[in-house]
Order: sequence, then C-alpha cells, then structure tokens
Amino acid sequence: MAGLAALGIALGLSVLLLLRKVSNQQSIGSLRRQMQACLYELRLFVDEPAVVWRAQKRLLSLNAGYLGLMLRPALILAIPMLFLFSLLQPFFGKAPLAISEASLVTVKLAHLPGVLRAPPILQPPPGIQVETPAVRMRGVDLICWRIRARKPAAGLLRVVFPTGTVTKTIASGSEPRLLSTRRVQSWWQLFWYPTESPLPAGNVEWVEIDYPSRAFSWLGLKLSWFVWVLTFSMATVLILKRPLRVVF
Amino acid sequence: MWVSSQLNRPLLTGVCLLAALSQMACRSSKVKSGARGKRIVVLGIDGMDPEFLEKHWADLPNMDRLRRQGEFKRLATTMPPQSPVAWSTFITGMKPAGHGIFDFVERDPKTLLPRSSMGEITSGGISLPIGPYSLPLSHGHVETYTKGTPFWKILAAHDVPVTVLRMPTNFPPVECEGCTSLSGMGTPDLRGTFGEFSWYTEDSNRVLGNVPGGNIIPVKIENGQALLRIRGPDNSLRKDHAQTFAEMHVYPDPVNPAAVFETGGQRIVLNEREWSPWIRVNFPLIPRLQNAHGIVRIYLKQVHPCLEVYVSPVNLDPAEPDLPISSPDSYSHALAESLGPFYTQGMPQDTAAYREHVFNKEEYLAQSREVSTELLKVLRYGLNHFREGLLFFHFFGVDQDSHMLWGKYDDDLLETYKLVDRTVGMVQKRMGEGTLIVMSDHGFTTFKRSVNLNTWLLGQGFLALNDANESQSEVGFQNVDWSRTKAYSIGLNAVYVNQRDRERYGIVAPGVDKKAVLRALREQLLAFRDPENGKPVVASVFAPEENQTALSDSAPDLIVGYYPGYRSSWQTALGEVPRELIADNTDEWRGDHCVAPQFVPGVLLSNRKSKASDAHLYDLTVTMLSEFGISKPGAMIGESIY
Repeated sequence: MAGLAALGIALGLSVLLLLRKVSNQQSIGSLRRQMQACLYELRLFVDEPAVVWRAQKRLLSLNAGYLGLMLRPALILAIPMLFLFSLLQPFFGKAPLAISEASLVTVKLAHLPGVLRAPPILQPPPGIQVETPAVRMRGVDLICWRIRARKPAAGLLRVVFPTGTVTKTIASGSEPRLLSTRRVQSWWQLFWYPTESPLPAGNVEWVEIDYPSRAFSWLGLKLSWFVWVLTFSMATVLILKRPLRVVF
Repeated sequence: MWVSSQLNRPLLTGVCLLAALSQMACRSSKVKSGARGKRIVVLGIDGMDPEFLEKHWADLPNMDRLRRQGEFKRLATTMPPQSPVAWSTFITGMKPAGHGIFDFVERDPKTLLPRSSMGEITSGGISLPIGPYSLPLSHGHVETYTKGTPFWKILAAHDVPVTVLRMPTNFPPVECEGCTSLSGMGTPDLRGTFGEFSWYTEDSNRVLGNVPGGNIIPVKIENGQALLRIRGPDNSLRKDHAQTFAEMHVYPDPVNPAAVFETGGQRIVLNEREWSPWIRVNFPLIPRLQNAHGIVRIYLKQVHPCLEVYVSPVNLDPAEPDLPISSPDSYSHALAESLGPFYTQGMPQDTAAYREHVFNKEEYLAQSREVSTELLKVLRYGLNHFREGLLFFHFFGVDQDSHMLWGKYDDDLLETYKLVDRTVGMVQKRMGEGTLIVMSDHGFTTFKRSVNLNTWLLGQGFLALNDANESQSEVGFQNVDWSRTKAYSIGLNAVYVNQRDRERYGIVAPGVDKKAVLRALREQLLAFRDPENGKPVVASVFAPEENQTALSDSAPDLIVGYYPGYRSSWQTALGEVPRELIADNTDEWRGDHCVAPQFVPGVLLSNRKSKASDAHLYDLTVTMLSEFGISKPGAMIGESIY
C-alpha cells in the first residue's frame, strides 16, 4: 500500500511539473479568470435574461478554448501514462495463482483444425497440477485447460504440440511479483503485454493464464491498485498545485 | 417561557437524564437476571426418525452420548405431519388451526387452483407504460400466510440475542429488531418456484419438456458449440411478462470428456461427471439497463456420445439477493462475504432430478452431500458468532435423503445420519456450557401405495365428473361437475367440502348439511380398504373446525391420516382424478411421513433431562421462551419441558 501511495504521489507531482512545462499557463489562467467572471455574471444578473444568455454563450466558447489549451498536455501525458499502466498492471493488478484455487490456461491458435487430430499436452512446472484434458473450442480456435496450484511455484508452462513446444511463464503463491498474464506473438499486442518475450512465429497467437485480480485494502476499503494510484495522484495534484503555481 | 428560563434549564436536563436512565433500566430488566449469559442451541434435523436412531446408536456416537448424558424421547408431531405444518407449530407454539398452515399445497377457494400454503410474491400495483415495458411505480411484495408471532421475535423483544438459520416457513424473513435470521424451506428460486432444474440433452430418445421439478431441453452442437438458454424469471417490467433467459455457450471437446462453459464473461472447464462452482447468471429485464441475477451450479453428466448438462435451479445470490432472504438484509451479504455463495433455495437437495432419472442414486447423493456440507458452513459461522442467547439451525438433508432412500438404501441413509452425528459432536465441542436440543419435526415410514383420493371421492359419490369416461388429469379440476360435487381433495392430506359461499362453485350449505357431509366422509374414509389386499387405508380423520371456530377459508375441512405405507398420490396433490384408485408407488420417492401422526413422531434429544413424560413440538416453543424467563404468551398452548 505504501508503494501505491508513493507511486500516486510521484505521478501527481510529475503531472503537475509536466503541465507547468508544456502548457500555456498564462492563457489557461486568463481563460479561467474569464470563465469565473461569466459565472459571477450568471449569479449576479439572474433577473436579466439577455445578460445571462450572453454570459452562457461566452462560457461555452471559453470552455472550448480551455479544452483546446489542455489538449496538448493531455496528449503528451497520455502515451507515457498508458505505457506506465501497462507495465504496472502485471505487478499490481494481478496476483500469482493462489494455492488450492483453480485457474485456466488458454491458448489462441490461428487455425484450430490441425490440432483436432492430436490435442496438445500441457506440462506445468512442479507445484502446479493440470486437472482437465485439453478442451478444443471449435469455432473460436481456443484451447483451454483447468489447472490448480498445489504449492508456491515459478517456472515455465510448456504447451507441447506434435510440431513443437511453446512455453509460458507461470507463478503461484502469495508473494507479489511481476506477472505475464499473456504471452503474445504480434508486436502491436506487445504494447499491452510487455512483460514476456514474444512468441515465435507459428500457429499459436497467444497463451494466457487467468491470474486472480489483486485488491488493496486500506481504511476498510478494498479497491484495485489503479483506483488507489488515481486517488493519491489527484490528492497530490490538488494539494501541490498552489505551492508549485500550476494552473489548470 | 419554559425553556428561556435559565433556572429551568438544569431542571429540564435533569428530567431528561432521569428518563433516559430509567428507560435503560427498563430495557435491561427485560432479561431476567437468571437468563443473562444463558446459551441454548437448537438443531432442527428435519425428518430424523427415532426408530432409525434406535437401530444405529453404535454408529452415531455423539448422539448416543447425548441421550445417555441427557435424554432421548419421541416428540409428538402435528396433524398432518408435514414439514411446513410442523415447523409452523414449532415457530408459533400453536396448532395448525392457530397458525393457518395445513399442508404444503392449498387451494384458492375462488379459483380452485393449487398454490403454496406458505406465501406468494405479488407485483406492485401502479405502473408506467413505456412501449413494451410497464415500469412499476410501487413495489411488489412477498406475503407470508403464517399467522402468529415467531418465538425469536418474542425473544428479541425481551433483549435475548437470537439467531435462526435456515428457518423453515420464514420467507420472507420476519422483520425483527435485535435478531438475525436466514430463511430456509419455502424460499423460492429466482423464478419463484420451489426449485426447477434444467436438463440439456442431445439424446433424442429422451422425453422432452416440463417434468415435475424441472425442464428437459433438447440441445444441438453446431460448429463445435451448443447454446444453453437458462430460464430466468418472468420479466415483470414488460407488459407481456415474457420469460427471460441467460445464455451459456458450451464447447465440448471433440474427443476428450471435458467441456468449456462460457457465460457473462465467465469461463470454466469441467471434466465429465464434475460439478462447477457457483456461477453468476444475469437475466436482462431492460437491455443494458436492468438485470435480474442469480447463481447456478452446473453438472456435466456426459460429453460423448451425447452432451448432457444439468443446470441447478437459479438460486438467489446471497451476496445481493433480488428477494429478501435474511433479516437484517445485510446478514446474507455478510455470510456470502465470509463463506462464498451458497444454496439459498429452501429445498436444495434435487430429489426431482433423481425422480426424473436425470441423476442416478450416486449423483443424487453427491449433490445432496454437497448441499449439506455447504449449508453446515452457515451453522459454523453462526456458532463462531454465538456468545449468548439462542441459536437455531435447520438441516434438511435427513428428510430429503429419507424420501429417496428409506427402506431400500439404509446404508446410504446412515451416512447422512453420521454427518448429523459429526455435526452434533462439533456443536457440543464449540458451544461449551449451555443447553443443546436436537429435535425433529416428524419421523418417517414407507410409501408403498399411492392413493388417488379424488378417485375414491368419485367412487363414493362425493365428487362427480362432467364426462365419466374422461378422467381428470389437468390441474384445476377441468372435468369436475361442481353442481354435483360435495367434496374434493388437493394437497397431501386435505379434503375440502364444496361449501356454498366459500368455494367458487359451492353447493353444500354450511351448518347441518356440511356436518352431514363431514360425518359421511369420516365414516367412509375409516372404512376405506385397499382393494388389492383388504388392508385399511385410513387410520384417523381430523376436522380442524371441531376445535376452532374461526378458521380461514383456505383451511381444509378434513385432514386424512393414512396408515404407514399409504399416502395421497402426487396427482391428488394437484387436484387430479386418475382412473386407478390405489397404485403401487414405483417412484424413487420411496419414504414419506404424510400419514397419521402417531406413526411418525419426531425426536427430542437433549443434554438435559426434561420433566415431561411426553412432549410435543409446541412444548419446545414455550421451553425456549421460559428458559429466558419469558412467560408463555396467551396464544401458545404448550408447556415447558424443563
């Protein structure tokens, strides 16, 4: 939890500093003051419809201008944020397989029919038990197995086809660790699943392990890491925006 | 003038303080000093039979020790000895004429259609029509028909901590400040029935359609998958109340005996002959805006050569039930948080699936044991949170298993009794000091001959048909000639006089005429002989009205007490008139207790000796109150056994 708080604070601070650097602070400040003036007008001249109408129109156009000014820092922030979250999700978002709890291994194939003749065999590392044979899901080109962790383990899961073997990292136990939920083949999917090397070219498009979601408890609330980080970062932004003289 | 005076303010404060203190004193004095810290645990083992216990003490060491330490005796049951009747007596301390429950099934005198005697769910009155929808502006509600005050409400009113778990005929749970309850028998599934399974089969030789307790539905595998449409509740938000469905896709492996099931973003893999964990299913009421939801369990019976999948009745989700199943509402949520999902329907052992040969005996027993194991976790939870006061837990496994195993599979039934015995041992260990009562509402006997009571009434001239060549095999007495019918039967023990101004087509005048009909019925019922073997069929006939003048219109006029071996047929329960008078019972439902009550007493086991030479269910109600220093309310008829 302390890690998430530190992360949230660091993120909030970075957002503030980046905003100060890449946005037009003067124009944003000016627009905000003008919008406030419009709001005052609406409040003070509530019995003068013409004034209210003009103030509302001006408020709309000022808002559009404000959004335009915020768009640039938002776009600059978005890309590293997405990348950061896709890196953090495998660590904070998922937990290793819990002992005695069942989970699924799913393999997506480019073409299932070849596999209909000879199903692949799943070979887990010690500590992980395979409870079902391969179930080939025709029509959607998936193969599934049910597995169960019997003790803490970390190693390679092997999916053995007649034509070759594909491996996937797997972990069980209570120690948090960086997890790879899915090992993918295509480069563009690597952006979402960056924690394991890509699969070699072949019939297997991805291999996935259904790790349980992780939730963090604090003050009686149990929430995902993402919500906590957002909360801490927003709190940091609100507290530090004045001392750092950042306007948004 | 009063409050503005500075001199009066301290006086006012003092008066308020004094009032508060005296109220606190009153509250704490409600619990008599001798009753504080007292602990009573009552285990209600539905259908536990004294003779079966007596034959197997050696295999039931904990209950054997209990009877040696305290006592064991027979516990008189109600007339008729049916669970909803007997438990209502235990709950209220009144006879059936007092609490108004006489059978599982009763008839509505205005429509003559059968209905549950325990209660019904009604929709709200005012609604707003929008297109195909009719949005309710007032809430529907769940109505219970049981009269009288439940004992736990009386205990709670006297500040005695009380928890009642899986209490029969407590749906919806009685609102009760200071007590905790979880409803049991009588709790419907999400569709409002007692529990209807769905059986999906690729086997074209199977008889398809609605069967008692379930639906057998054809399924086809296309492109490697089959679609199961799970029936949900009728959509009360639509004008046409169309049925809702949840979709589940099944992908059986082409060779391996396993399949993948997908619904609502959830995916599970099952081997053949495996049960799934609980799965949440959503039924759209207004697409993307409003769903009803429940939980189901799946049993993959077979993958090859034909796919066969059993889906349990859709249970209310205890984490967020769409109908009230606990008081307070948060209690079922707390249980689900701690234990995970569990069976909430009142009678979860799927005897219907066994009777329809969807389950074989082993599959039925596996499901029954699973239910029992799951619900015993609720008892453990209750015990973990039990400090003082009263804790009650109802266990249904013995009753349901006895119905299916009695007289033929005693070894299997003994395993169920052993589970109870281990539970008794666990409770004794955990509860420490206090009174432990292990009781049952009735015993068991065989069910060999099935009596079509309406056919008997027809033969004796009490009932007439429009077309004598057509038997009546539809619910609702379609072929009955009411202008010549004086009496009919519906339910498992009840006979109703076709009374004028009460029944829809009544012809018998109340008073002298009705008494004459009742007298004739009684005499002829007691003279009723089985044409196959000449044995008497009816041991006793009881008229509730004789002892109670103010009965409701739904109360029966006569209650038939059969000899062991005989029981009203399933067709009689729904008001049918088959051709055969008495038939052999070839059903898997082989044991029963809907006979004259003296043949099926219940059990009273306790770690204390009682003063009562014989005890009745309603005596236990008074006992539970008097142990906490609460005097017997006027409506209750029993005496404390201690």
